[in-house]
Amino acid sequence: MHPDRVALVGSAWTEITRTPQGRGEGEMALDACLAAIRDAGLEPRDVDGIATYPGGMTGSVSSIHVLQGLGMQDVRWFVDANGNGPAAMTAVVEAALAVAAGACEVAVAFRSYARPRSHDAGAVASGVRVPQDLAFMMPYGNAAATQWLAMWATRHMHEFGTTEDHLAEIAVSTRQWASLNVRAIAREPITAEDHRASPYVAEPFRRLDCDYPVDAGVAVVLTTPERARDLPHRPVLVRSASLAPGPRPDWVQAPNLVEMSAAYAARDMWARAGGLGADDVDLALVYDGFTFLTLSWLEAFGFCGLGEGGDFVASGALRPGGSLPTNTHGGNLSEGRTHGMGHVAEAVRQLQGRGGDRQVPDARVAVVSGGGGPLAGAMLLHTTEAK
Amino acid sequence: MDIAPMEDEFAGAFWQGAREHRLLIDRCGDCGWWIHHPRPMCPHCLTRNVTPQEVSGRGRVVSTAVTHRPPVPTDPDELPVLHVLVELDEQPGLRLASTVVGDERPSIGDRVEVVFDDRPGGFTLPRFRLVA
Repeated sequence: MHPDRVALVGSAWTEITRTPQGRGEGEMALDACLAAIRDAGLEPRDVDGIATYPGGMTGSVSSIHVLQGLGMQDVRWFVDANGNGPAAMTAVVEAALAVAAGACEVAVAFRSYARPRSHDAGAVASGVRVPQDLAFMMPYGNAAATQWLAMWATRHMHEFGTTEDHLAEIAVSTRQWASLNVRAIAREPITAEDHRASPYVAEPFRRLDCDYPVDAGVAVVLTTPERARDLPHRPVLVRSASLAPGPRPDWVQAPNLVEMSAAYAARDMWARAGGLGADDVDLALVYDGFTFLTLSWLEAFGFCGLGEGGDFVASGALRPGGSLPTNTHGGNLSEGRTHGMGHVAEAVRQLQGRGGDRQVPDARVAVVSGGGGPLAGAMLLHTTEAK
Repeated sequence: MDIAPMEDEFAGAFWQGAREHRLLIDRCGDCGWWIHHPRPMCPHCLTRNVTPQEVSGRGRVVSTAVTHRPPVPTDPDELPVLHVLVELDEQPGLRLASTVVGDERPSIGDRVEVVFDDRPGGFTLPRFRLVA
């Protein structure tokens, strides 16, 4: 998309809980959207665009639920971004495109999800028949992203010497950031030894390599840079965004097994970055459904070369005070699995200078990403104005 | 593991072949490209001259994962599940996600060949065994 045509102006989270609290996805969606709209200094009547992910499967709600629930009268554009795509990032990019195209002027993008109450998230009922490409994986018990990405991680380790200790460092540094976030579901510091003692789920992934399933709603508000000038917080401009998946986005049949679709989305994002580059980035909010995804996204964005992610994280770069503060809210790993909307909201808060205890000093440029494997979305956000 | 494949118009030949203990992969009759997962058109020629053909069933392991805590109901006797990505000899990048039989853990680079596992659910899984 063209640079700097859209500004992020508001953000909000509901409480994040690990166990059902009696508040479902519908109530959390309204709470998150209303809070984000008011954070932007606006009211629901000002909103004329809505985007959500997933917005159509069990545990989530449609954009229309929010339109009705918050009494919006003049919505001109909406989308429920279900299906393939980099999770919550899809809704944010779609909303940005809608604002840039003039389909709406003020859009709210949200993700609200409540885990199934009756069984573990991700568990699939037995006795079902699965269609299409998943039919070549699920009958083998190969039914979760944990396993699909474990095979990518194994390949990365084989080709580049990446180790489980490198993954441990990501779990540890992300938790250090989470300890500064009162909202995070997991705030107790952990060590590399804790990681090593954590049981394998799907080798090489241990439990501490996997994100933390939660119930939560998160929303952000987008508008034009012109409208943003009148709003209370420093506008965060979308310099560049890409959903490029590459030529063969597939868990099994990808062109190679070490560069995810992330590489294509990040490359496309930088190609339209208007002169900004990896050296200009103050913080990274990269999708971390698993520790390995953090490493892979850092390589994709070019903070280190392909295969150098292990050494890069081992340097302590990701930690508070490190050279590339990463997932400063605690990520999906420790704040909780908000499917990446937490990453977007955190980037907005940091670039607005509202990061609280975990504020990265003078943060002006951030990369944000969503997805893993064949799903990828990348955004470059920045702010120039002091406010 | 009760999750059964849906034998639709694209994937049906693969699963029917497996039931007959033959590994069938779609192939373009014009350019010879092997196509998996199944698609109705060749992505290179954009023709519909695509038919399932039997492959050797031989290949090598290009990655692995070992499931200890399964996301789907799994017979405890089958844990841990030894997942493999197998690249078939017929074409670079032509991969199957599968599992290996036996207890020996596979490694990247291992040679494998297909075996057929008739499941209680009435379908047959092409799996692989390590070969010297």
